Amino acid sequence: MVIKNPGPLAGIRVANLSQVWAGPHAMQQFADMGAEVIRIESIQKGRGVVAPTQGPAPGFANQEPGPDPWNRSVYFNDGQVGMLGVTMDLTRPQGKELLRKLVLVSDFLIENFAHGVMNKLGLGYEVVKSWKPDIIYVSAPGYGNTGPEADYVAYGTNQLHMTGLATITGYPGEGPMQTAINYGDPTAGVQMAGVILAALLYRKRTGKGLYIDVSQREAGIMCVGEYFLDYVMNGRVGTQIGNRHPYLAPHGCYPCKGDDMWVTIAVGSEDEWKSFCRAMGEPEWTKDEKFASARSRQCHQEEMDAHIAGWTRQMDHYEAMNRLQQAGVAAGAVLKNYEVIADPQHAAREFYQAAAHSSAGTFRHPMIGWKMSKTPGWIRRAAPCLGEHNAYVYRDLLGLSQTEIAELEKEQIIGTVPLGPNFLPSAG
Amino acid sequence: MADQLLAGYKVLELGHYVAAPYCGKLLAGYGMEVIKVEKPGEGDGARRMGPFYNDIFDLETSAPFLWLNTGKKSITLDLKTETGRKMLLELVKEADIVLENFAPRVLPGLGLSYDDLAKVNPAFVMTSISNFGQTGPYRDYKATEIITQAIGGLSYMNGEPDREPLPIGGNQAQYQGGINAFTATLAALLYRETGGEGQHVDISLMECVSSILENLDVAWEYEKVVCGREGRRCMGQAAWGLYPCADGWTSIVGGPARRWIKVAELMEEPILAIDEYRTYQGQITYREEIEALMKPWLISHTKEEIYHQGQAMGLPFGMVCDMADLLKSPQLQARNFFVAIDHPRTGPLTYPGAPINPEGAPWVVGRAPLLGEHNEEIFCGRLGHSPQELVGLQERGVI
Repeated sequence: MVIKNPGPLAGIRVANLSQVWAGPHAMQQFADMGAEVIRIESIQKGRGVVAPTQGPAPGFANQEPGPDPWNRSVYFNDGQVGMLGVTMDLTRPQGKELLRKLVLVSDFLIENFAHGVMNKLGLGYEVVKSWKPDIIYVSAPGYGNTGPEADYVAYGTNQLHMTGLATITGYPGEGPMQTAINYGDPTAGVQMAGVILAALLYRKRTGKGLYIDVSQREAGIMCVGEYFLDYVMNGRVGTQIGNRHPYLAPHGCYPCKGDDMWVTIAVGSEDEWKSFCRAMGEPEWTKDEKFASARSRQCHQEEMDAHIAGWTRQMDHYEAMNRLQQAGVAAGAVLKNYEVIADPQHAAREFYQAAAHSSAGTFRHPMIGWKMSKTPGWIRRAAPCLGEHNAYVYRDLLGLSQTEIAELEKEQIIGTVPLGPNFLPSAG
Repeated sequence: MADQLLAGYKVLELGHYVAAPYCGKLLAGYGMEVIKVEKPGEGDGARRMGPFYNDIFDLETSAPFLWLNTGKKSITLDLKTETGRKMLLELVKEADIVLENFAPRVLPGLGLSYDDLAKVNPAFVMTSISNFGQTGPYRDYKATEIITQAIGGLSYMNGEPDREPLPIGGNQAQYQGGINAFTATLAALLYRETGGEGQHVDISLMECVSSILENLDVAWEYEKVVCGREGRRCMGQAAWGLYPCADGWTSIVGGPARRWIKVAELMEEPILAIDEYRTYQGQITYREEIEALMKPWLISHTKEEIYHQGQAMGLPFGMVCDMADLLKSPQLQARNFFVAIDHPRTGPLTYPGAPINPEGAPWVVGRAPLLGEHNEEIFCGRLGHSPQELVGLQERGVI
């Protein structure tokens, strides 16, 4: 039972201009911890930037765009869980004034537009600092705000490759592979969230705000630092080893019973090798000289893997995993998406939590990657509909009158329905 | 000296390999004092992980160790001895944060659980990183990288559809653990500093992996779609993904749709511009045709040429950088991303610097410590032991 507490970050408010994944993922850490994260959009731009789910599925709740497709996007609704939503047209003075009023009651502002966008709108750090001198202003384009490639267009698809990680991802020696997720985004996102928390501690101590310029690429390169150092020391530029390990064997991914079912197995020591043989029922092949030591097992991996596959093919992946783990051998079923959501470990730790969305319906979403003993995080609300919290933010938080709000709606500075045919379910 | 974001805080790191050490590295870089507690004689297991400087085994020159432990101090303590345990508790009294990544049974087994440590310092924050978390049916299960990525749901979707699934290379689940620990620890610290209390932060690598599946897990919840492997093509379409080129691999993005005409122009292949090839659906249906049309241009240009020429047309092209490409990058050089760090055993070497480097409160650059390098500073200087006592402790294997 998740304790429904205010959360360790209750009382923190965020002016969140970020979009797609890196910034929103950073902000989910805050939302799940009780901060009030206000996602700022506009009816002029609507919600055009989303990715479809894979294959033929269109990317909408229950595969139906419905009368309000902008409120039913799987990508948006998953990425913005826990946030509030307002709209404001930042290209016009009345919209900029709304942002100013919001910034005055916020702890930090975050944006991940292409380099230069906020400056062109007259909403760069120097301007925002003139409104609130101790503002923490986070700007996170793909390649940073300085340098000869600052104006280059960065897509998440390329981040893995620009960080060097693709060079070490792939089947052994067969060249780099793409990954299913845009790994650079959350890697930068969670580190950004941490640095923002550090900046909040810094401001508490010194009273000073800060400008934080983030290059998502640089944040990602940290995760291959040891490979970079190997290059600097020894001249090796990186290669792919698949499911293999530099020195452990057996270490691989083996087919199990059923359609596209697999289990990963890693044997770490001589004792574990003996346990592994026992778990398999001491088959004859394990007694061959070729498999007597770790060194020689490494030299005969292909042959050994064929034998192991003969065993794993007889059972389903969870059975293989649990039998080996009971015997003290590291093994992990390769889980498909519906299996991850239903996994017993995730269930025991309440990792997937449901949220009810007024248009899309009730669905489960993953939590952030940590638990706290006294103030555990929890998913407080579903993603916002477009402009859903205009009334709360503008009337209750910022003190605008009903007349002022009606005027803003009439001028289309704020609203809840996108103008024009903007919602494009495809990524292009 | 410039102000640091996290100046004034003290961390005790009982970390080994990647996850807790990466968190400790970040905390040190942003200004905390991080004291690494290592096993006498052997130290952190990462010291034995290659590759080594000049490929010669040396506890002080392991590339993973040097990278993951910049900016820290090192003391040695045998936590299995009563004296070692007592000395640790003395240090816990002064610590704001204790960071560890042992298997969940280990520290409680040594009388060093969160509750044990909270007795000497009720306000501290303890962050524990483990493969599956401190609770649940898999709590005591073992894992390496390929296992946590598999059970977290990431591996299934990487690789070729008709071959075995792949992990992302290197130590990514462990890095995600360190990254989440960094943020969670600071959230707990901020809570404590604003009127709250200390507590135990519990990071599971499996959860870290499952938390970054980018809506591909909830694709099942929302649309009853199983997301599988697409090889080198992003979402199965042509012109979004990896392709061989003259000197390696390029990573192109032939979009958004309104920019597709630029791809035809760039690659000097007018046939590419036809309507059928412009849409997402068309780029799936006709992917082989499109790829055949792009191939001559791609294979005759270098990855740098493709990257810069594509970007000049406003196309979000990238490239597959290897480690040499990173060092050469004019963008990374211009932003002073790399730093030189000297070390008694390797001399000065180039390292990546900070993930994020705020103006006004910059990242602190410092080398990894030698094993037990700060025993005297900490045990004599802070705990008041005499140098002779240290010799005795060393002889008994306590330090």
